[in-house]
Amino acid sequence: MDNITNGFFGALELILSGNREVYGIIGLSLVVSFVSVIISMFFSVPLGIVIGMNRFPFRKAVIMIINTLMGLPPVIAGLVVYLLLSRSGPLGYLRMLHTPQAMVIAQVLLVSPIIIGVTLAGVKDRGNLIQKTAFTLGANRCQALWTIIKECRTSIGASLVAGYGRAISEVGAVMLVGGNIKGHTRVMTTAIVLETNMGNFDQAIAIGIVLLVLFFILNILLQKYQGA
Amino acid sequence: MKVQISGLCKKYDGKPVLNIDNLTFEQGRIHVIIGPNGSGKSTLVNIISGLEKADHGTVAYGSNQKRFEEVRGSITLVMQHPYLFNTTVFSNIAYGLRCRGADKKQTELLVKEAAEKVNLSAFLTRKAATLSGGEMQRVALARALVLKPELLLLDEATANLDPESIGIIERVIRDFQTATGATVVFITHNIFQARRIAERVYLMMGGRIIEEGSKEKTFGNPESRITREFLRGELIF
Ligand SMILES: Nc1ncnc2c1ncn2[C@@H]1O[C@H](COP(=O)(O)OP(=O)(O)O)[C@@H](O)[C@H]1O
Ligand SMILES: [Mg+2]
Repeated sequence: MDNITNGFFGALELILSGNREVYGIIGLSLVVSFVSVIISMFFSVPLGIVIGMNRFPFRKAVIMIINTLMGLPPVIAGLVVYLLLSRSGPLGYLRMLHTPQAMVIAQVLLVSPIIIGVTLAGVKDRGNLIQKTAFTLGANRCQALWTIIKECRTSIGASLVAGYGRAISEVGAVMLVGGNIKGHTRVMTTAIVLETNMGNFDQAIAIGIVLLVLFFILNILLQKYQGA
Repeated sequence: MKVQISGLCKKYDGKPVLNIDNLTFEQGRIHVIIGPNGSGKSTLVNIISGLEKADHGTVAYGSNQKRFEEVRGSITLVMQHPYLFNTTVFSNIAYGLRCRGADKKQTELLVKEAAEKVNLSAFLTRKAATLSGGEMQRVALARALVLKPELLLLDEATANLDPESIGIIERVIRDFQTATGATVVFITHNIFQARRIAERVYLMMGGRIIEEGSKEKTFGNPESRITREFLRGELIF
């Protein structure tokens, strides 16, 4: 019990005193996951719209694969990127393993199926009707696409929030490809694992609290989107 | 705008749904297409409005027989269940004008004018999602008319609406047609409505036009037996 109470007060002190290391870890987490979602957004949202609105061979199979990949175990994404980036791997010459960039790549892999899948589901039923309506009112292709994005903004917003939530809370991928290097690739989840193992409960709890708060904010956002 | 159709065929999953040898909608008239469910009326106007492609045949627009791409901006379609954008009535009516890059002042003026015609002046700032069915359809009509189309297509645009909205829509279409000389193609299920607004009437069945003529002739002295049965309501559909 002492562990917990001491840890808890220690954690509060770390948070309130603006501990450099803790905030560095939180900052890196936020940035890596944010960059991953933004990069993924640029191709995943259009891809979700295209798959959602068009008929093509094996469409059902493609959608099924995307839905399955939405639950891809993060370690698998980590493993794939690790193998690609490791010294002897095909992209080894980039020397990117154990960098924040590598973590971004792994997280892009992880969040893309979610962004594609949720966007797709939101666009599937109404996309064509929106497009037709836009066309009959003289919109060109770009304008029609923009209209679809605007009309489906809640689904797309939800897909981004869900993707971000997944990225920031996973351990497996960032641990493997980032290496949990202090001051370089250590993020919230990997820090919690490490500090707990080492018995530094102050830090573990401090970061845990922040992650929990963030998780709540994201979920409230998500529910707002989906309720709208 | 005149519309000349020739040799138009369309199949869905191998099943022929449209087969029209020759059909001309003359410039500046109100053409009404009647016919039972599934007879191909929507498919026809969807092809004319460029939403769908025919398997064979051509549609030529205007007296110079232009292709669809050349006249795209002069054609609008109002659907039975219109999709209203998730924004205000004003922005819905302004949509097409904004796509064309019309300036703000001009847009505002035209939108207000269009809203007034369909009795929705007081609704401009309302969210489209809060409107009744009849009001929604009037918004759909206003956002089509504000573009001053030379060819206006309406696909069962008044089906299942309240009588007040039906009255407004019919009047607005008639006024618009007289004022601009546009060509109107109006699909309806309702034979009484066809009598009220048509100049020319077309009866479609099984993907073909089986009777066409002036309102007086079609309703007064139809050529085919099927038309007579349809008009007497003896055809079950
Ligand atoms: N997208 C589609 N796929 C398959 N069949 C269709 C499609 N659209 C229409 N049809 C079929 O084509 C026929 C004509 O439909 P439609 O033009 O909508 O008739 P109407 O508007 O006169 O009721 C119907 O039998 C309908 O089932
Ligand atoms: Mg129809």
